[in-house]
Amino acid sequence: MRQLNFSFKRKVSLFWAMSLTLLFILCGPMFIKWSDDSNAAERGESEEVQRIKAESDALYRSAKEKSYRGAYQEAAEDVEKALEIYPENIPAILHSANLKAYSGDHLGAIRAWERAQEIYRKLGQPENAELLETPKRIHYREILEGENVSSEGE
Amino acid sequence: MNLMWLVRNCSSFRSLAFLAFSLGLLFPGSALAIKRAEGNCPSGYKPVETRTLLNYGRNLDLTDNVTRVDRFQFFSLNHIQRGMTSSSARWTTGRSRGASIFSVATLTQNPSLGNGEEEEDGARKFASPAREQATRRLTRLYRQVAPDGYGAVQVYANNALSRTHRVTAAYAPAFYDAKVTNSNINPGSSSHQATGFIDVLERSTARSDLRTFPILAYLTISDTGMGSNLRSSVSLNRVTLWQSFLCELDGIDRPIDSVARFTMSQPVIINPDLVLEQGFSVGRLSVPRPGTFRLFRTDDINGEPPPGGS
Repeated sequence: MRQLNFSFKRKVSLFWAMSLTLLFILCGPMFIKWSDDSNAAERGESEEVQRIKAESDALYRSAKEKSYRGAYQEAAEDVEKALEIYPENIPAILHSANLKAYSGDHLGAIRAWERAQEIYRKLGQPENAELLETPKRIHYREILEGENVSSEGE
Repeated sequence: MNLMWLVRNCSSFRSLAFLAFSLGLLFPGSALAIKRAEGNCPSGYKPVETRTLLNYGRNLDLTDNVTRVDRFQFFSLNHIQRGMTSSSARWTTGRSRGASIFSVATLTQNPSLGNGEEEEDGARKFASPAREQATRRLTRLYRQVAPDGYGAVQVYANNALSRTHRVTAAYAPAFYDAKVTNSNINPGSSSHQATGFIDVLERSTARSDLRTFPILAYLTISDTGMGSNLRSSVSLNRVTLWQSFLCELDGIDRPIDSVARFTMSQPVIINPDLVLEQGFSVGRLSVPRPGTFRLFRTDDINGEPPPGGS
């Protein structure tokens, strides 16, 4: 039988390669489990946030449905609850602003749009914040000059 | 300084503001008196007031009604019907990749050009129970509503949320109405005309499964404002409200019948909150093209009587 003739240097490198492979095989599952555990911790946190968001969204959708049916008072109650649970729910803030504007609470509506603008800027969407200047301007004008109903131009 | 802080904390601010507005009305050069409309004129153009437009007509021996209806309505509707082409809208939408969601509307059908007389044009009449209800106690009962122009628009959306960036298209109904008035338009204005528009448009989406909103576009003069009641009413009824107003060349003298003399401003959405609430960002409804149409005609200058009369 032919003998393999390895140099001492080659034997050392072979030993290290085999040891590392063995270490990886043995410790791999442990590493994967540790990684999973740390992700799960993160997921646990986002799940909580997601649960809050979902709850707030459900209330917002209910408010929207009630608005479409013309039940504005009930819709306003739902949307306020949605904002209590998750104050950064932009659709709920915008819907609440509209309900306030419709009921004649111009300052309340303007405050709500300003809140939405802050959140849009925080999210890096300044163009959306800028768009909300138009309704704010119209309601500011309403406060300043009062109702002016046209009767011309049919 | 924050205007809201002033409104809340300075009790005399209302009276000061009232004084400013009154002075603005006394001195027509004041910006407060001139512009109520939302948006801006194209570069090189300035806003036109109701009084200025009617004076131009009077100088040409046109009655106010001819200027309002025959000239301004025709001009503004033709201007907006040019809109954006489908390919241009699709390209603009596609280019917005990376933005949240972007929607661009374009006209696919010309608005019908009427003469402003609701009774004479049956094609533009739409039954409106809400207007009928609102005008029941008035001297005249209106069962229908007739926009100056109507059509379908194609709305393109770049759905970034689905991470596909695929440009999708949907159709939406649109009403156009030309108004020459120096006050605010509200649901009760013009015998609850806007109430009727909102009623018809709102029901049109209730029947179909449109992913977008119907459009109510007012083509106005620069001192026509959109009332807060109208703004909140359209939002709660899922209708988008747009405004475009008349502009005139600034500092360059051109004949009154020149195509470059007048143009309409880029339409501005008055209730962007409705679109933002659904997770969309807002695009463009139409692009002003100065030098496309004449507001006054060549025969107005020659002193010939306008056809149709008042």
